[in-house]
Amino acid sequence: MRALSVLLSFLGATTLVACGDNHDHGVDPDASADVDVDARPPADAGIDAASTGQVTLAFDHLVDGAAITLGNDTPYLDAVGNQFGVAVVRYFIADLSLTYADGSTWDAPGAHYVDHELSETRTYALPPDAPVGDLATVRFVMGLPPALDVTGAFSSPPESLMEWPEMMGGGYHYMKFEGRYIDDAGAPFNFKMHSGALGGTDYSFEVVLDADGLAVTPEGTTLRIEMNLEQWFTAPDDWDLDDYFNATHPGIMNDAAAQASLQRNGATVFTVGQP
Amino acid sequence: MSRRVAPPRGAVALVLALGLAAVAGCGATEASPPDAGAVAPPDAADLTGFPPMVVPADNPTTAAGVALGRQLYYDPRLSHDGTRACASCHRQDRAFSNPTTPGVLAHINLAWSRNFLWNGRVSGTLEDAMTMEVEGFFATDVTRLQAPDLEVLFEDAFGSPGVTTQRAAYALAQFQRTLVSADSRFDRYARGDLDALDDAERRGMWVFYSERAECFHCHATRLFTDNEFHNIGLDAEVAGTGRGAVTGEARDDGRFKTPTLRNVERTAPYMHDDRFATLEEVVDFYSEGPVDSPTLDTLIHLGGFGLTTEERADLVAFLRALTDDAFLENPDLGPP
Repeated sequence: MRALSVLLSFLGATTLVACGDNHDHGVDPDASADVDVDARPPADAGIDAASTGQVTLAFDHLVDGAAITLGNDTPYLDAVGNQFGVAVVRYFIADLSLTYADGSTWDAPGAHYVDHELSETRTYALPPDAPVGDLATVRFVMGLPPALDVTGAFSSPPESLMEWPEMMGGGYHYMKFEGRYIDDAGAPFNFKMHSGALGGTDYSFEVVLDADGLAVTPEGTTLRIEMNLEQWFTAPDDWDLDDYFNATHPGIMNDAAAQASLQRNGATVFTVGQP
Repeated sequence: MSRRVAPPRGAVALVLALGLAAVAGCGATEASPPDAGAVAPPDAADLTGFPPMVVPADNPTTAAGVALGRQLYYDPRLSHDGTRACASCHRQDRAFSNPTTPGVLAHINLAWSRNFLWNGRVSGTLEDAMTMEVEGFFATDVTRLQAPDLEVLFEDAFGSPGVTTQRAAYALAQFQRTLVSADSRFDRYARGDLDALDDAERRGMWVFYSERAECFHCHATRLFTDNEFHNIGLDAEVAGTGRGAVTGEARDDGRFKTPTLRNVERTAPYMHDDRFATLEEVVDFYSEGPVDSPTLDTLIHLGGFGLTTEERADLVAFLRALTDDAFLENPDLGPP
């Protein structure tokens, strides 16, 4: 996991908002209600190792169920028949929350950056005291909520390289999903699915993943989070890449309708399972 | 006996600016902080909007350290044969670049850099980069620096007698941290002086900050560089070139470090191989000339961005508004 040191102002006041031992977990006191109480040490023993576990998220990025290879080739077909390939996959998730079968929740506030090319970013070790128990859902924000989407919040790379220019409203890209497609004329054209807040409008959104059958265990649990990239182009909105990336409409960073569409399509992009 | 050297004004200003700087670990040791009283005040550079400057804990920026670094930057005794100094190639009037020596990157805001040279052959801190320069590029002969005038500066800078290549490198790193350019007309505009840019420059700014021209993703932040490596489509054949020559990985072929655009008006010629003589040629290239290759950056439009004649002129006007005369003419950054 890449610890994120978050600079909350240009004046030097720093606050850690994500990851690591300084995390403010926001643990729900009822979260471990279904844990076998006999396994617990005395109440004054501090963190109960038997009733909590380490959850690690492992991120992967697929097209049509297969692992991607980054490059300028165009081996895939999207829902409307665009031939495309993937060169860059970078994004933030934030404010992860586990919901348990008993209705309790456990929160891991803060942001985590994922870059397909940087293996260290593709695992996210949550604070080690998630309550043991059967899970119902895994929830997180895709992108950055407004409180974290502030220019200067991330002071060092690679997170800082996601900056959304101040001249364009400031904050950070939620996602850079870039690649190449073959346009209607049969020529290659590069596409840049750059999402982010636009004109003061927050386009981050909550992802809710069905985690039925998954559980947090005392031994530690790895949850595999998959981003199925072709889903950004469909369900409910089909994207013809020719409409969004062409000589007169080179990108979507100033296209509110496109950002809203990504918000809708993003609901079905992720899945959770076990490795 | 030690002799106090009057700190250069710019250096002093930056030392203050560094007061809140974040501190990062560094493997190097030895240099000991000198007397804090050597650091005098005032007028800190306005670094509003800049990322925090990282200063290794074992090499705090001090007036005496900067004074030594400045001396060495301009002193030919730095080189093995006593003929060249940093300033032999890095001219202040050219934003510490050089119009005739091939491949010389400007020394501007390197305090925020973590990759050095066009292919990133050196990475890490300024101390790492300056150590390479002293021990590698210049192959400094320490005995040349063991002259009375320099020994005094070394003692002042590091609090004890001793002339070493590491101390020379650390002092150069301190001086480099004073080579801060943050007061162009664009900066004044960004700070609220809306008259600092004229109409053409403002139009050019919006071209710059648009996906129409795609300048800002790489020439990012107030540094106007992401300090990363990109293949912008200069050549169709890229095997074994650029970053790839360092990493040995095909995905890095043809990628070169993003240079800052600050003072770009003064840093001609352009590109890693100096192939363009003017900013107009550079903008024409992006408009019409990028060619495909296996590692071409996705941000580049195949065939070019197709900017209009007016857009090109406006963009060049904006780039010229990144010139920082105070930086180019500051006597405190010149020869001691």
